[in-house]
Amino acid sequence: MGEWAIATQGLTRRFDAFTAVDEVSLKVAPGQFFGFLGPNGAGKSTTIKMLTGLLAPTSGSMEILGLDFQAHPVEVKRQIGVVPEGMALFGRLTGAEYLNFVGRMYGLDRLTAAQRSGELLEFMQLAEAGRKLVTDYSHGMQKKLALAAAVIHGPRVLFLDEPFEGVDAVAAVTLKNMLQNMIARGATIFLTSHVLEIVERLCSHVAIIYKGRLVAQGSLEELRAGVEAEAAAGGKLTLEQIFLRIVGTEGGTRPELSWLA
Amino acid sequence: MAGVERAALSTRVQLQAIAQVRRQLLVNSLRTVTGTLEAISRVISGLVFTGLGFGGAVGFAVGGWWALGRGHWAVLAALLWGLFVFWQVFPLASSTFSEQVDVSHLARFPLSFRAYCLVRVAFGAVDVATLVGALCCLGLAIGLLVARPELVGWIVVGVTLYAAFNLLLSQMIFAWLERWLARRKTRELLTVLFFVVIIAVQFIGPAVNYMDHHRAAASATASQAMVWLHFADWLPPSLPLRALRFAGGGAWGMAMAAVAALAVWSVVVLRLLNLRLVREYRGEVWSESAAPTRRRKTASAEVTARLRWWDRLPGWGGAAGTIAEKELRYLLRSPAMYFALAMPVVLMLILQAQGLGGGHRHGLALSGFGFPVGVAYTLLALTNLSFNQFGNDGVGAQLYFVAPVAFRTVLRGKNLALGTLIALEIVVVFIAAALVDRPPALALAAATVVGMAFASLCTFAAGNMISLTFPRKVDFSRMGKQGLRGVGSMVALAVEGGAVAIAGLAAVAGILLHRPWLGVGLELVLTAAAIVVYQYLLGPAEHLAGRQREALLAELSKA
Repeated sequence: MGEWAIATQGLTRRFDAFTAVDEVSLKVAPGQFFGFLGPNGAGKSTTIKMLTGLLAPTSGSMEILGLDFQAHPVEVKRQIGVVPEGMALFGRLTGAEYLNFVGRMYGLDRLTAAQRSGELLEFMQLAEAGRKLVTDYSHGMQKKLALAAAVIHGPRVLFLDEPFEGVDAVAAVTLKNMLQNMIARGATIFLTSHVLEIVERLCSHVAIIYKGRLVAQGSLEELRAGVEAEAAAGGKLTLEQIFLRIVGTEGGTRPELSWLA
Repeated sequence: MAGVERAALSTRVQLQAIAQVRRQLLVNSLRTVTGTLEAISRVISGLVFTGLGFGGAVGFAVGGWWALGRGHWAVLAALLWGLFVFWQVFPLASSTFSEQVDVSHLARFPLSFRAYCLVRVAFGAVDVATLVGALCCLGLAIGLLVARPELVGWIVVGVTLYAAFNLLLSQMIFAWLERWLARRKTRELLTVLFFVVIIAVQFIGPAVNYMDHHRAAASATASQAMVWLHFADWLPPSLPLRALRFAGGGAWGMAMAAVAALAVWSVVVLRLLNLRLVREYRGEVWSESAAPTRRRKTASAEVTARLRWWDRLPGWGGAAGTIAEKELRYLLRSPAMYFALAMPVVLMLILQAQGLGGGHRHGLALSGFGFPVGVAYTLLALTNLSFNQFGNDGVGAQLYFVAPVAFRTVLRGKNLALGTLIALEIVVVFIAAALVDRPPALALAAATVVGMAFASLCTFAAGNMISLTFPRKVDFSRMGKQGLRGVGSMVALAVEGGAVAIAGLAAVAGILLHRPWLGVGLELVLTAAAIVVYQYLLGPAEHLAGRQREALLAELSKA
């Protein structure tokens, strides 16, 4: 599959008779800020779980930075950072203890892990939480801590499942700047989000999954051009319009619920 | 509403819907092998407790018939008080066997308060204590009726009211305990209080033994107790007895007063339960939030970045050591762990006090066996944790699957933490045994330590598999969701018992042959074999982790 940051071939995941992800073949080049979109239940989280080792694929292959995930899981995991759906936090540790722990799990020595933990807590404005346990953090604070943990080892590929959900506007700007700096330094970011404005602003490339199948993939301009050509519409389409046209459920097409107040 | 009329809210329909959804949940849980095994284990434990309940019912019937028929009021009082203690204490101690259904989320539906209370009490009543208690009450009533059929009215009213009182009281205790357990700080305080009570109760035996041998102190205590017993006449477990006794003697007024007092107690308990239910019904949700913590800057790099001495210990420098360190932080933040660590020493004190109570060493006195007794208790108290190693981690367990660490390392780290705690506890127990009792004979100490190593390795090896196959999220804020349950607890019991029996047989063989060191040698061989088996099983455990990760993470991610 060559030297792609992320490449999947025929990636499939079935749950009994239900196929959640169906023959998905993705390609993400190094240095791309890649948005992975889809309606609820389309297969986004299942895909990201497979790409990060939280779920085994039923069939198909995955390569991260040219390494086969199933053949070299530990080597692949060393190169990636993840903010999974559940955030993977340990509630009864403090923020500093948690970051130290994660850093050392990713092979950092104690000194480096502690140093980076301190810097990350300052950067994420969590340093004041002091000896507070993670379970006592607000949702937004937990999200920031999860993001700090995902980058503590300096990953080359970062997977983020809804990273801005529950994060306040000020912190969101800080996080976006941090992510854009990572991209500038050559990292690859694979992000899912329901907030299309964020994806439009941050991502250079996008893929759309619908009912488990990949229905579009390319740069924003490529997608826009494709949809405009198909619809022969004038003006520059927003990502939301592109998304709705590709998924085929633009508003107003569903019957009204007459009994609803 | 476009001509569509809103259906009237029917409590009956809502209750039917709730019953149906519970049934559906049960059916759906049978779709997986784990769910089916859990259901089977519940059926088995249900049958055991039903048998226990019927046995109790027969015992209470015979006891009641005999006590009332022959006027042995003290026996009847003992039956009623025994039932009371069982009904109220057993649910607290039996969270392993019983599953409490959380119905607080039903508050978001347009359920009437009456229906909510009904559902709450009905689901709360589906537990072992209520089953056994109700059967015992039924048996008692039958026995009493056979003995004195002319008191039928008093017996039916008294025993029914008594059963209702016990049911409501256990519900009330649970409701208030859960209220306090919902917040971390109050939960920790409550846990400490609970343990203090448990430890205090352990000393009742030695105290009674002491009284038995010191008549003056006993008579002073007895006269004091008589004053209290006078008050106890008006406590709920004594009231059915008073009602029957007065009714039997024709003192209808006093009998009526006793029944009325029992009714008043029930109403008081109902009011206290109602207080909780009203809050729950109005949507009270207690978060995990603790009391405000001091806001100060976190320990910065230079504070936390020192290399600790344990980093230089073999096995502690790498990922396994990191996981072990995290585990120890986690375990030592639980008051229950301090209880588990303190109990072996407390047990030795109790047994020693029991023996010394008579003024000389006899009976259960330790007589040089304090160390093995303490270590055996340590095994029971600590190794149980290895059978649900991810329960405390919750959704944090995701990290073990995304981090670049082989899963066997995760398991080894968790075992290392528990092994370290056990080793430290053995040292503490040894010192305590030397002080409380006397230092054990060298061969006995060696046999105990090696036997413990063997048993620990066996439980770790089995515990790794069970933790992955039957994980259970631990929720410290809910009664009955704080530990192992079902198949896991049964396997844990079997493995612990089997390992101790095997190690014990080896030690006993040495003693019988008058060669205690031979027993140690046999145990060493067993331990060496256990190390090989433990190491070997890490491979299958790693594969199992891969297969089970979805089920494991699904269980641990439960809200």
